[in-house]
Amino acid sequence: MCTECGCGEANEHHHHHHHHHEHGPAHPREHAPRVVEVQQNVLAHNNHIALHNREVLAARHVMAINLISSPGSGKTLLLEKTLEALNGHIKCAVITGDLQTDHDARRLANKGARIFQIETRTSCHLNAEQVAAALPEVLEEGTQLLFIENVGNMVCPTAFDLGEHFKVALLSTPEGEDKPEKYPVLFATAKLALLTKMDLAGPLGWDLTACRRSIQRVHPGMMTLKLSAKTGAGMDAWIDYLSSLV
Amino acid sequence: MHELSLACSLVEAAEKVLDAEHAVRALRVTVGIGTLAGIEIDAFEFAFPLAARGTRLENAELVIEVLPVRVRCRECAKESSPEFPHCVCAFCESDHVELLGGRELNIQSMEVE
Repeated sequence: MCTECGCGEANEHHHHHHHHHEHGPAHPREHAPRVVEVQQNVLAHNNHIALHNREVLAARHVMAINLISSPGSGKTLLLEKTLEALNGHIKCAVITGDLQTDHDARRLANKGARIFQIETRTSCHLNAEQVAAALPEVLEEGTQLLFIENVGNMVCPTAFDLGEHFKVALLSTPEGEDKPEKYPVLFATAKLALLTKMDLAGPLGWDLTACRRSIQRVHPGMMTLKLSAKTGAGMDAWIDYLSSLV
Repeated sequence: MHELSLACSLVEAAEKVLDAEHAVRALRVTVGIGTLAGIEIDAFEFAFPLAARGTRLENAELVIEVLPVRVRCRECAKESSPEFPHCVCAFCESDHVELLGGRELNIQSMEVE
């Protein structure tokens, strides 16, 4: 039984131990060094809150997507265009994380979705606790799709389960073709890779085949979509994909 | 960059173990870290004493066991540990594999008193 919230989760606190003081001699050596087998996830606390977030989302029939990429890969512009396309069709909400400023929340405002900005100040990633606090603020009656725009960073956000259904990795063409192999954890963890800023692929001489090969090496069979939020090319497939989720 | 917050999470989780064991302090903490966990081990080792300062883990020795990526091949059904970061079968080089391990961040054991 979970002692933190009484939710019945048993997987957090169990461990096998050797209680010398319980079964030992008449004068137990209370403070004698002993080895305890633990086998517990260090992020059990975060994962536990993520589990509760997942329950909240399931109860409200909300699909949640965690968007992760380096800074400047086009997460916010993609969301602007996505919210515009889905406005009136699918009710969306956005939790957006940045170290500082509410610039992203302002860019995403007035597109039919409720927006909640988290300023993480010094932290380079969102955690489940921050999302748990944001959910009651951002979810409305009838919300179907929640985008969590993580702090721009390809490494740290991948370690923290937020309770999302899956992660999407964005990779923009100016970043080069081999980022998946340089940052394999993100691409191994995400379900979908979005190749963004495809309008720049030609001028940059960016090689789609090489990029696909790099993705497949770290995540065989990974689904990949390519688009340009600026020109709109490829946006239909992304919007169709999102529509299929709800 | 996130290793300090992971080290803080480690200290919090280890303190709960100390509570359960009615132990006054930890002498050693053994942590298993998968190569796909996205954790820089040098940074984690640097962060741990800072996170442990003023807790019952202060001065505890941190032992890190690096856990390899393990995959099961859906073509030849063998289990193997491919060379990081490539996620292919080490026997037949098929990329049709299922990830069995490599993303761990676990407290394996603790020496307490």
